[in-house]
Amino acid sequence: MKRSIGSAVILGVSVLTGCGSLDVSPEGTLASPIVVAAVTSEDEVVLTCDQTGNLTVNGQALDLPVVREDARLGLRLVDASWLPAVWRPPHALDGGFLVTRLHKASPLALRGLRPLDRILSLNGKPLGKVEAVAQRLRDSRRLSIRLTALHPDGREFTVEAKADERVGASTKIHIPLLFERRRSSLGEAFACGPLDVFFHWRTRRTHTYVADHLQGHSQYRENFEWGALANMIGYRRQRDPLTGAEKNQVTVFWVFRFGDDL
Amino acid sequence: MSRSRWGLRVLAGLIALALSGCHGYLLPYDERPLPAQSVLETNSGQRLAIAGDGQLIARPGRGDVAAALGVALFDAPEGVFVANALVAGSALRRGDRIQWVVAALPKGGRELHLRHEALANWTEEEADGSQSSFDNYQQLDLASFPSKLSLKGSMSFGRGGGALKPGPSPTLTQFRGQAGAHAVTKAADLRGYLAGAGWLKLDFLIERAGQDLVIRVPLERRESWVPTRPRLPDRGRWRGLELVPVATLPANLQPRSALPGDVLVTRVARSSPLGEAGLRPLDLITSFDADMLLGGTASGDSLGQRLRDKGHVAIEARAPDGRLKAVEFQPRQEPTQLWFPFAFAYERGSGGYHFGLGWWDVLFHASGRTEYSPDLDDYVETSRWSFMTVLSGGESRTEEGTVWHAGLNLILDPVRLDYFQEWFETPSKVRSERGLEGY
Repeated sequence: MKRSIGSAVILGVSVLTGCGSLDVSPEGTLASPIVVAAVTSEDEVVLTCDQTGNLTVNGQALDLPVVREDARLGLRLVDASWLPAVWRPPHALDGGFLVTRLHKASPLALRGLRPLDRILSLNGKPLGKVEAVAQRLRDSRRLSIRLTALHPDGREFTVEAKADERVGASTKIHIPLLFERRRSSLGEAFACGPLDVFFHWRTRRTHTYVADHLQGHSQYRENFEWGALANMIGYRRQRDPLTGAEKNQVTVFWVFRFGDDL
Repeated sequence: MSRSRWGLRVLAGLIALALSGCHGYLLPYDERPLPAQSVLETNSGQRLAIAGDGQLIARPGRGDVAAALGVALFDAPEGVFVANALVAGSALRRGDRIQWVVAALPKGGRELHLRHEALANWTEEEADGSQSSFDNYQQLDLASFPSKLSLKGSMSFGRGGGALKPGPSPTLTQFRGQAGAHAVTKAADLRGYLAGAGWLKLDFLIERAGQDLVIRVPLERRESWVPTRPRLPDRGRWRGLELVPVATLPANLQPRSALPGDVLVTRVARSSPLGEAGLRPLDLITSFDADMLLGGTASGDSLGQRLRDKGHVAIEARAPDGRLKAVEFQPRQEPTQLWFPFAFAYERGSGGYHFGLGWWDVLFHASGRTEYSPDLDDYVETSRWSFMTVLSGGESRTEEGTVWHAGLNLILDPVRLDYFQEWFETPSKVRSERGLEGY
């Protein structure tokens, strides 16, 4: 009885205030993968990143020089050349800069950069000292940025992104029972009617964790969807931004689905 | 306190509010110190930093592992020798020759690995992953994992932090056989271990009086307080500023990048307009600008005069990384409060403003404030407005972007709820941490 009353209250509040189902706001940072630098007879030596962007060894934070560009790239790097040689991960045995924090809405994360990747070059030029890297990242904030990086598994890749939008920005306009409009660096949405019952439309990039710790548990998808008449008819499209693979699905009368499995 | 007296006090408070309007939007002056943006290197290679309580401290230079070990080291053709023990009771003694080292890492790497694997498996079922994985990560129960697992590895090092007491050592061959052990031919070979100062211990194979010994030495964060005699402005309470002439610091602790006559900023309060304008501890400014900020008469253009004229002040500061910063600010003003019961309320101070029309601002309300956010290490500008309580909006502007919202509210007014929450909570929080009262 209490549960049904609670549900009714939540439903009522949702109808009156906008239900929040069209959320496109970016929040949080990507979870760090781990790099098992070594295995001893008793234990392992594991490198990972904590929530504030520190590199850690077996969970203990390390005091290393940090480069920050939180505003438009949502990125933090540490200089691994200050690590003892025996603690360096296999893809940074000679030092270099490691990504230790990435905002989920970072344009670099959307294009495949992950925590613990090693940055090899910035805009085609090798990285220098910490102060120089910080300055170059600051200078790149309104320009296209091209990074060549190395995954912990040894795969080299290049990401290009335009850092023209701040990673945490979002906009929301709502008029209960009538319409709702949202926009952020990860997507935008529009809906009309109570509980979006008449029509809704949304395009956004979603982030999902996957069972692959070397890939940072992370996978992005570009989603587009619309629905009408309480989703009696709807359409969804999902695209992998890295591979370009696309899936489509049409829904009719809520239960009849045609197209790919989403 | 009895229930009836408590009820009477609440009733009296409500009546006072109703009669006077919603005063109190302006927050108390937050005198907690801002953190420095980076450390500042000194002539001797040490690093100046600001402790959590705002004190100026000196840390060993980056890579100066000898200081963290509490000894002085010197390189010789035969190896690395301890020149002197700088700390009483140090396990390393003068004349010891360091031959090999291995880090005694904390155990738990395997559990960490397992937790990550569990995290990956758990989140695979999540549709959007909208919840931070770190929350899930924290919820994982270590005890639920099997204690014995065979894991493959390509290389091995580290001894896992087992107990090791000073005493007769294993042979060099035995020590060398440990995973992660390596020879020490120069002091720089130990440099990287300083990254773990504060929690890391190193096992050394040393030669002492012709005998091989194994000893364990912790790497300490050897920070020392730097005695200073800061110059305070005439109205320090309003500007939250402390400046130390570089010349008054010990010669070895003077910043390497300082010019003659420079002044070191050692404290900037969160509510200081200088902090909002970008000045941070460990910035260097000229003595000319310092005189002006301190309200002195040397420049003939004191801040006091600017305060009376309500003009802007611009100074130039040099950040620890060498960047030049233009710091333009308006000196903090006395807060203004105007109100007329049931009609309007107006408040304005350096930290924000508030304007409301009608009883409890029901007709119209607009407010804005600028606050320091420790999470972002930046100032957040927040503004909100509401009309007839149902139409409302606002924005929160940070370095990461602007979050903007507006719309109609039929049953709740989030602007008002936020407003009251802050009104009740924030002053008491600031007061409890710094013992401050009022503005």
